[in-house]
Amino acid sequence: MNHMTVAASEQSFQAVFNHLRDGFHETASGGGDFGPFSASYDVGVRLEGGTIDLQNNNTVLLSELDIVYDPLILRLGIDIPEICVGGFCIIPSPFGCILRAPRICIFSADPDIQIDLDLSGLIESEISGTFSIDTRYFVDPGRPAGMSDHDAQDADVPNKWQLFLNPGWLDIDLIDIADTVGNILDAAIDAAIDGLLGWLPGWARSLIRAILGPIVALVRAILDIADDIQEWLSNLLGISLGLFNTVVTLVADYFASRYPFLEFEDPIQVLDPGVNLIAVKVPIRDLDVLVTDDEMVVTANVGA
Amino acid sequence: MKARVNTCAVQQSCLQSSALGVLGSIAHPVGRPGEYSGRVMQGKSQVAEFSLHAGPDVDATQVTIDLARIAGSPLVGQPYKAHKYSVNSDGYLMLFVSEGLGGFWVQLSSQGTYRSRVVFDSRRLKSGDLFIATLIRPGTHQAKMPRAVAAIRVRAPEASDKAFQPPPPAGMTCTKTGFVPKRLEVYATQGIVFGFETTSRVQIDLTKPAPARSAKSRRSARWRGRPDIRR
Repeated sequence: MNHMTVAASEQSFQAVFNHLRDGFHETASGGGDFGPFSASYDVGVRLEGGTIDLQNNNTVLLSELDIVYDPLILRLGIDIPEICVGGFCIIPSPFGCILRAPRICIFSADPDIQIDLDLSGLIESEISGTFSIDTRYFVDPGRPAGMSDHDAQDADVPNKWQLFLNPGWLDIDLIDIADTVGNILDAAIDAAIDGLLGWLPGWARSLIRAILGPIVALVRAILDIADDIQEWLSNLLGISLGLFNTVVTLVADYFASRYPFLEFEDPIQVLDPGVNLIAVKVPIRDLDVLVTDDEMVVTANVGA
Repeated sequence: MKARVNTCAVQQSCLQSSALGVLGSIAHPVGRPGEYSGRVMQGKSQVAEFSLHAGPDVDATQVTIDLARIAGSPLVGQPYKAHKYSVNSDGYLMLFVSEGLGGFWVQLSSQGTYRSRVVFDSRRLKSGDLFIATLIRPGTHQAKMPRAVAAIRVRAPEASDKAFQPPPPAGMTCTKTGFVPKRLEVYATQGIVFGFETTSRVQIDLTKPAPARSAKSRRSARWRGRPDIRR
C-alpha cells in the first residue's frame, strides 16, 4: 500500500499535454547538394491539436498532432548553363566538320541563381505515436552541496521528481501540400532570372531568355520536377533533405528529455509556513506511474 | 548570385576583320606544308608570337587560336610566350578573340632556308580566306568594304516554347564589284561567313538598333460606356 496516490483523468492529462504542446517552438536548418542543384531550408516548427488516449497497457496514444511549419523557407541554388554563340560548322564533309567557328560565351562561368520559396503554412503534416511515462529524479546542478531543502526552495533550485513522455514510436504523415506551390515556384524562378539579368540591356535580356528557352521549364528540368510538383517537393523535403525526420526527432527530444509534462518537488510541501513555523515538507520515494484506460495514477511513498 | 557577362560582346557595335575583336573570327587556309611563324599584333604593339607546323602528317584540319588568351601585356611588362601549334597542311588557321577589347591582327610568315616571307596578313584577306561574324544585337547593320556596302538585318529570336537554335550560317561574298548579296537577313547569333574573291577587308557597323521589345505585353482594363448623369 503506497503512502500517496494521485490520479489524473484523461481530460486532465489532455489539458496538461496541451500546455506542454503549446510551449514547443523549435527551429532547424539543413541542406544538401544534389548535383545540378543544391537545396537548403530554414524552418520553425509549432504544434497544434493532438488527441490523447490513455491505454491500459501503461502507454499514452497520441494522434493527429498537427505540425505547423512557420516559417519554412526553401532555398534552391541552380547553375544555369553557359550561353555561348558560334560553334557552327562552316565547311562540312561526309567525314565530319573540316572547319568550325569558335564558340564564344557571352554569359558564362555557370551563373548561379538562388530561388527562395516561402512555404510557410503551405504544408500540412501530423504526428501520431505512443508514449510511455518515464519517471526521473532531477537534482538541480545550480544547487550547492549542503544546501537545505528549504533554502533550495527559496533559491528555486529544489530537487524534483519529473515525468516525461518517452516515445515508443512516432509516425509523421504528410497530409497535403497546397496546390499554389507550383505557382509560387514559377514566380520565384522568373523573379530570380530577372534579378540575374536585370542590369543587362533589354535586347540582351530577351536574347538570353530566347537562347535559354522557357526559363521556368528549364529550371524545372534542372530541378528534375516532373508533372507532380507536390510529389517532387515531398521527396525533396522528406527524403533528400530529411526535414520530416528532423521534425520527428525534435518532437521526440522535446517530450522525452527536455520538458517534463509533470514534476513534483522533493521533498514536497504538505503544510505552508506559519507564524514562527517553517513549512512542513515530506520526502518522496518510490515514485511510480500506472496508466489505465481512464486515468493516470501516480503513487509514491514517504520516507527519507 | 554570380554571373559573368562578356561585356565586350554585349556592347560591341562594330566588327572589323582588320582589327579582330569578340564575335569576329578569321579562317585562313594554310595551303602548303612547312614551318610558319606568326606575329600577333594589337594596334602597333606585338603581343604574342607563335609557330605553326603544317604537314600532311597532322590529323587536325583546324587549329584555333584565341588571340586574347595568348596575348601578353607589353604595357605592363608582361612578356609574351611563344606558342606552338600544328595543323594539316590542307587545313585552316582559325583566329578569334574570346573576350576583351580586341583590335588584333596577325601576320603569318613561312620560314624559308634563308629568309622568311609573309604569306598571310589578317588586315588584307584574300581568296580562300573567310571572315566569320556572329551578330547578336538585333537591328540594322551595314557591312562595308572599300567602295561597297551591304545591309544586314538582324532579327531577334521569336518567343517560343523551345530554346532558340539559330539557323545554319549565312554566306556573303566580297567581289571586285561589291558584296554578293547586297542584302542579308539573319537571326541574332546566326553566323555570317564572308568569302573573298578579291583582296579586301570587312567592317560591320550597327546603324539602327531594333526598338526595345518589352518582355511582357501590358494589359490594361478599360471600361467603355456612357456615364449615367442625372440632373
